[in-house]
Amino acid sequence: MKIYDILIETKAGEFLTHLYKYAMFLGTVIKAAARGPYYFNEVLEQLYQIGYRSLSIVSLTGIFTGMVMAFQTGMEMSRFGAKSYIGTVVALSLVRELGPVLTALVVAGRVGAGITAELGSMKVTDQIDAMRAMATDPYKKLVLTRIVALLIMMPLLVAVADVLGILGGLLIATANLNVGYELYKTTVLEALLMDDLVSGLIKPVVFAGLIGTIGCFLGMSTTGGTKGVGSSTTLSVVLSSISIFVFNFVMTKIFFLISGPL
Amino acid sequence: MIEIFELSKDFGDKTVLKRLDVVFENGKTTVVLGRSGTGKSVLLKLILRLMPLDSGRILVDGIDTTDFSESQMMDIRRRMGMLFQGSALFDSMTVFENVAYSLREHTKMSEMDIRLRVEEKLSFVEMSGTEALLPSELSGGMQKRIALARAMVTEPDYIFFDEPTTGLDPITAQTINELIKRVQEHTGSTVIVVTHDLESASFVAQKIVLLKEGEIYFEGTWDEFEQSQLEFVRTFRSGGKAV
Repeated sequence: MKIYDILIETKAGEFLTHLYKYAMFLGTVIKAAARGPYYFNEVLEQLYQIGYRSLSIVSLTGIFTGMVMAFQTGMEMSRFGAKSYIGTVVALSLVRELGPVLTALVVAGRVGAGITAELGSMKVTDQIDAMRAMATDPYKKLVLTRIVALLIMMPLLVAVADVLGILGGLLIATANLNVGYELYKTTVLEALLMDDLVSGLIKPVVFAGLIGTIGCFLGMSTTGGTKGVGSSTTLSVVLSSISIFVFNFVMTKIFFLISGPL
Repeated sequence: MIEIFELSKDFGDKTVLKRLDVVFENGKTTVVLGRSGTGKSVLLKLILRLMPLDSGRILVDGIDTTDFSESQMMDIRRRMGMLFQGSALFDSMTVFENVAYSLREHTKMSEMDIRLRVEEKLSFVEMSGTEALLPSELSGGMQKRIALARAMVTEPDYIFFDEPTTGLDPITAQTINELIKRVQEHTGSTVIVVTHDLESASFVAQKIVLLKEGEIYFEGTWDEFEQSQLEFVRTFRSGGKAV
């Protein structure tokens, strides 16, 4: 056995092999994006499937997160007479971190898993090969369209989650904590800077790229029948979630380095 | 004409095709026989370049496609149709959308013309009236017929059949055999059928190629195959019983 074969069989070797295949996959997607034909109708369909159909769960995530944030921080802050800062805490934590991260996790579970399962099923039943045999590039028709739809919809979904979260916070602040509407509104608007909005919109785009590429990569490389589809789908959610947490930390660090600590 | 020279394909340690030389002549139906796992389906997938080959050359009408990129292969694939072993119909599309797929993708035909062409092909495979059904609502034999309609809708120069009768009852299998014969006669296409079904082979073949361990063991007409005294041919004919 050659040393290369021994190395490749180790966990690290296996990981590097997968990473190499993922890089090759990204290369193929970029190549597919560089030249037509483009499937605009397919993108519209995916915008509906990925975006519109995720709206309800993302809305619920946003509103309840905002309500819990307001309730928890309000209770603690009232002990120090700092209830008036509820708006600040809710707005900053939602726009900077919770909105993008929780929305991305929900989308990874609903959409990323769905993409992997759909493409994986097509792969193991030869539908991907059938598409290629009929002279259609599945990377253009199936992969690119889903990634583009995710890149477009994710910032919008995060914006919805942020706004509804802040409104959820308002509901609790006014109904439970005796914080006035005007005070809450003023503290929210004063707390949010342009940097926060920019970081809150850049993060979702990066997360969308991760969810889309991981979901499609695992779907397109599925083998082993229905069991393989199940494994790929689980792995898709796990890897997307881990990468969302890791990239969120890295991006937060970078944004703080760029804009300086507040 | 498809010409294959010294084609080899390995999967890990297992050699599936070993320096294979074969010619598929224009306008003829060639049946590739062999035991399961001898590389019959792989051969079709290599011609379509659905998987990379290890070595050898493949020429389609004199054009060497061996080093073609995926995008170059698209033009070659447009001239070919394939019926996959499991039919591989798009399960999220209706029968009509499946059959119309290539026409919508690669032609500028109007929806009316597409409808007419799809209806014509569905009628050819005796599946008229199923346009609105989903593949999951069809039996295995019906799915094969729809897949055949889809493979021939663009009237390609080459049509490949991967185990077209596997898993079908004898009556449905014979219907598929008759369709394969009619397709060839009707379109004049070059047909390659990969199977281990001797009934099917005897009915449709104008030429037989028998593979053994990734190499051609026998090549000839059905009559020659029937009369051959080569040991593996006799074993294959008798279904593995002692001869």
